[in-house]
Amino acid sequence: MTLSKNGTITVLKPGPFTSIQDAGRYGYAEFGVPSSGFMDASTAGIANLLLGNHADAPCLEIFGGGVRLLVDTTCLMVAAGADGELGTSNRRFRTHQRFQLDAGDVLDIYPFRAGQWMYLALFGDFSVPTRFGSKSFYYPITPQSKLKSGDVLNFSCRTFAHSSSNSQLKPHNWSAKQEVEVYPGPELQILTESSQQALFQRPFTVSSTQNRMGIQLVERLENSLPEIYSSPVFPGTVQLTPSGTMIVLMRDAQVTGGYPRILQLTETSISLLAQKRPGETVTFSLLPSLQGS
Amino acid sequence: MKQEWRLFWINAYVLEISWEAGISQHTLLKMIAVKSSLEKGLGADLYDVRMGYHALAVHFRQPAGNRDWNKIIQELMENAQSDFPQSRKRWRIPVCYAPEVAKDLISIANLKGMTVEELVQEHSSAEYMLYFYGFLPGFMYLGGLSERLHVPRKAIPDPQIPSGSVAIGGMQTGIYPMNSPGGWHVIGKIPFSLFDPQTGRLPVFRSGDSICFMPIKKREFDIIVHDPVYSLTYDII
Repeated sequence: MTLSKNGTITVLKPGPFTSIQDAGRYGYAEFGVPSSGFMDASTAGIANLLLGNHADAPCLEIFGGGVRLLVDTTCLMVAAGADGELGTSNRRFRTHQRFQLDAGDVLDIYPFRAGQWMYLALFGDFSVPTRFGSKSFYYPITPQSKLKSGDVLNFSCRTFAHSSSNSQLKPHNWSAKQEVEVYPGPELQILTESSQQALFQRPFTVSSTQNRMGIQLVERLENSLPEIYSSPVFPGTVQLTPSGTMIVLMRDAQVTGGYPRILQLTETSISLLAQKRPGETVTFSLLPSLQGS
Repeated sequence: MKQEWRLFWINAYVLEISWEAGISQHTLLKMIAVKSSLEKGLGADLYDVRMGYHALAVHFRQPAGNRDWNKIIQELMENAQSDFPQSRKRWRIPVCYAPEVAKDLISIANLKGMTVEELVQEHSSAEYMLYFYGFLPGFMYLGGLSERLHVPRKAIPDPQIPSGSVAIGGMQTGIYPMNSPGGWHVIGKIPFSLFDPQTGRLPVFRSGDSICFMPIKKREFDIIVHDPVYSLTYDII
């Protein structure tokens, strides 16, 4: 039997960008609604599974750390993703392991040592409104894009801990991996031979120009391509701008774009790239073509 | 006959169908017909079908590369052509073209060497076609702007364009569905919200619908602003 209790999390320090995210909002792109959802879906899924939640369940998504939360009810949680410390005044918790908070506990999530995004999964449900099939924060589909100091999140928490068969799940190793797997984009083949070679031969540096919509890369590619007529784009689409700068579209990206779409990251690679900090480098590894005929 | 479309897998879940590059009503109507047959035939297998000017992206819920899509799409095309024409709507949307609510109206009239009246006449006498939504939730890409009103986007975007602003940029016109930064020039304003996501209701306009702008006076604008009940009117085309 699982008991359910209602509780609240009060945001004492929101950090630079903390929001509720789930697997995203699908089916409304034709009205211009971005999918949103976890920046690092691989990690968020693991956090959820370690608790016995569905992998897609909403989590607190924390960028950078520096977050302080007050809970008023006993609840079970798992933190996963970025490498960082977390704990209460008298206890320390490790990522990827279940921990229990008690009523009145203040949880501190300290600035991360490595990685960018941490997921705090809750054994239960966040009671935030579902808009177009998802609880993911995205303004203006939801009233706010991120949490601010003083915000109160309601949740219902299941209290009966069961032994999870998922407890052996290993976090994906984003810190060691540099290779980002990509499919060719629709406009890749119109790039010059030398630009295509450069694309797959050299590393590219993640820039600090980034947010939930997209990540700009530092090194430019020689580009003589014209803009294209606005065409569908997705999270993971790599757009080549007229200046030769590449932008990797992320979860909150708009649904169409007018820049040539030269590559498409796999889902796993979107998660990997999300965790790379400005200054870290990645290389593109081209997957075999999916075009059958 | 040479096949006029091509298929391209973006990833294992997304199949793009594209036609000759360009902006054309002919292509748009074909795309709408294919989109609606895809949704009819494969609805449960799809998240959705998103559109650009000459490309449709079919987003499957599961990897779908193991079927002969060339053949399936070919058949859909043939049936889609016999299904067509389907009902499209012509909407009339009231717009107040007044400098008090449209900060770029006078500067654009000056730039174009027109009086404000001529500019309003030029903008409100055309019938626009909704190609697709993009840029922002509920933002319609409307084609059909008179060449006399083509204008480069602002070099530096406005940090905040108010919700309901009717604007022109490049060869297009559009309505900002919510407060947003934007690079287009604001020449009018509509007196109500076209898309309020908090209600959970989707916009009423569909790709292929026509949009006409009806000029209203500032006084009428104010009346509608204060009376939240306004029914948009349309006829079937």
